[in-house]
Amino acid sequence: MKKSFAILVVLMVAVSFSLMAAPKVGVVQITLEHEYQLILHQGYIDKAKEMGAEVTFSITEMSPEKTVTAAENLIAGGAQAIICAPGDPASWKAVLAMCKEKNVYLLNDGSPQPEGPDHVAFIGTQSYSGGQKAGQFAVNWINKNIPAGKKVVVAHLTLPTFTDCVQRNKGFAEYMKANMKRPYEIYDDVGSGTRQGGLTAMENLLQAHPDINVLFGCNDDSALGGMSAMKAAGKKDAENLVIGFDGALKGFQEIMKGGMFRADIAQQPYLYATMMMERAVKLITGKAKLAQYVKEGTILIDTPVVTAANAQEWYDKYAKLMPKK
Amino acid sequence: MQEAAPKTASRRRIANPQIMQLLGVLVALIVLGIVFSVASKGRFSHPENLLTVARQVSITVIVGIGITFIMITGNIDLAVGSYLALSGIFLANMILLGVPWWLAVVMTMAALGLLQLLVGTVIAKQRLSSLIVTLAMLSIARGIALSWSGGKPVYIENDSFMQIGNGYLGPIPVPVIIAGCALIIGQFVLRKTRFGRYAYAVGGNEEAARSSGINTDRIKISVFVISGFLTGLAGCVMAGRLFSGSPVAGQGFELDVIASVVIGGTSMNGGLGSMIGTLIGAFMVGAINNGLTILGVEYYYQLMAKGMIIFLAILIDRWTKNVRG
Amino acid sequence: MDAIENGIAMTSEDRKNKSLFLNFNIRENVTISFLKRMTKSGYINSRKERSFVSRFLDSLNIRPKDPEFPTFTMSGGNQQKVVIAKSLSTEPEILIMDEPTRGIDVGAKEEVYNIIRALAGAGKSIVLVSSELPEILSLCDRIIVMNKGSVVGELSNEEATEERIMALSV
Repeated sequence: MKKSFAILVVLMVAVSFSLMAAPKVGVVQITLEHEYQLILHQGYIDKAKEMGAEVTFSITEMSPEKTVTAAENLIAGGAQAIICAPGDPASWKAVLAMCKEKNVYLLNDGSPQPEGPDHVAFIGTQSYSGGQKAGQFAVNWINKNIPAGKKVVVAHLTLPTFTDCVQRNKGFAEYMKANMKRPYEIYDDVGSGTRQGGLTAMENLLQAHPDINVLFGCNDDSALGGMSAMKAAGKKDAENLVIGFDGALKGFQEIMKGGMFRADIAQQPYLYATMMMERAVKLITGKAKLAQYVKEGTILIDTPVVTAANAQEWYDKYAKLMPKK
Repeated sequence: MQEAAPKTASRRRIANPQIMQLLGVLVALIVLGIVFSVASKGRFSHPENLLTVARQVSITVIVGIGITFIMITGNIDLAVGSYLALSGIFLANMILLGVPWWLAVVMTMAALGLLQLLVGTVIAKQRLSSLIVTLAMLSIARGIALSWSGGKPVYIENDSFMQIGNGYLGPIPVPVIIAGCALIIGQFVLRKTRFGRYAYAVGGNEEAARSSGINTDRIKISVFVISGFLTGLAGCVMAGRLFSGSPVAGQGFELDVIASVVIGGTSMNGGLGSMIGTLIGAFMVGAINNGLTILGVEYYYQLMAKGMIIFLAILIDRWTKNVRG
Repeated sequence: MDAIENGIAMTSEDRKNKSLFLNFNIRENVTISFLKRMTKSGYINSRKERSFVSRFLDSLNIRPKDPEFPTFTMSGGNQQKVVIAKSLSTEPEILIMDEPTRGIDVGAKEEVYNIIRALAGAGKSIVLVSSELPEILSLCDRIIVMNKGSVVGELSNEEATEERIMALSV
């Protein structure tokens, strides 16, 4: 028991000796279990390396009190800037207060929070307008492909505890409301952002409304899960539409297969990991001032709509970015 | 007589396995601390960091006291993480209703105590496994917290209350003081009162306890109630840290607490355990989390290290079980 | 519990499962039934506890004579003495002992017999349940033979012999 500890510790000593007085950035991530997070992770690592900075990570597994602890520990480890996603707004305030107290820069890589001179404005994904784009794709497809007499029944998988997802679903629903000329029904259920969650939620929705023909999942996993439920219910590819969000490789693959999964609103995690890391390092090394970034305000990165036309291209791009095993 | 005395004295020193085990864990903790300090070039052992770890660990310790009581009687409580979240939500809502914060804290503790009274009664009177019942409560309590709050955190805007989670008394963080007091009281009750002795008896040999005149049901229910009070208190401290009651807080927390308690020498079979052990165990878990992050160890290795700790805890538990025959 | 209040105590045949707390030391085992009367408002005074226990250590010749000694490492004979001390702690008038010498070595057996005789001599009533005939014959004033749960005969010590007891029990 003690021996394995000793080995681990020797490893760590070796690692730590290789890290000298470079600018140090701490990153708090909620999980490394999704491709999105993995690409983000890689983006941070690559950019840090490029700029000669050190990056340390702490993963919180979705628990807000762990977020606070993670930030604390990263700062104790010498991080001069923290990049953190306020996935659950509860922890944000605490992390903000702590960074203020310890004089550490705080960068927000999650969803927009009330601005403050204490932290750099959000660089992130246009969740709301991404949702709108999904809505736009849906409306166009419905008008073209669902014959005038047939009912339009839309299912909508959500994740209410995650602000980003809430924004996506909101964008989608509001766009549809404003732009669907035909009557339609829309139902939602919590897909929990996972395959299993999406599957279960969709099964339940289909029980209540068997003629659902459009599905929007707040992320790819739940959309794919929901799609399995639709397929199991015997839905035909040509008559149905599934739209995902995230830009996961699986999403692209489904699009390329040419089935009912026709569009994916892609996030660009690599791009903004790069931008975030650059900002963080610049702040630490004094090459940029906080005030300037705050003035710039929120920068929202575009969410391109990936469809059959460009799926292959996106797939290749992201496949390359996955961490080399 | 004179010759017999030194012989029994030395026999006594060797023959107390609980103290040996406690000493063993303490030594391991100290060694770990030294190793971390050296590897992190003093960052780990910086008094500010140690206080940070102490503060992070406070919540685990407070809840751990209750769990130690429960486990000494041979039961377990898997729902503490959910209770933590529920307490926070309860507290936040009370404050929103205008209840003065200190009264809200008392009410929260009472509410959790009441809940645990119910749970304990079901377990004791219906002779159900505490594992199963508390496993169910894990979901039920989490569900209540989520539905009551709508999945969103409930903010607390009260400066004096914030002192609980974030304030200091001199150089020492308030949560540490609360945990310290609870620990001293807990240890006293365990070692120096009839109730504590009975708790050990019920866990050690329930039949013998009953035939010795102990109301085993009452003891079992009581430890759950105690745990309820403590968990309510811990939930308030955490809400203070997060400036809100968060319905998603505490996920996975039960693992941390149980690992701490078991590492500290409390046997999952009951009859053995101490509060000091729980304190050491909690510090062990917290120090590893903090130390590995400071050293920038890869997340996957951190997971493995934590897994090894739990495995260690199980081995230790097995060893103390054999010793008990 | 009521039994204890009424001055009856019992030691059962299955030491480990029914009477002895293996996670406790001698002192904790002996005092457990008596704590209610010994503690004021729940607080345990360790000095009082230790002196209470040392009386039993002496009178029953429990070895080692250390109240803090953990019971799980003790020999069967000494463990049984702890169990007896435990049941004596409530100062019962009537003591029921179920197979008290099962699994104990010969020397310890003798010691237990001496204890039983001493207790009887001090005026206590002892109900001995045993399947060891020599033991019964050497200790008991009155012998009640049972078969399948019913009483089938009674003999006084003078009348009893192994053969007679065997005859009654079939």
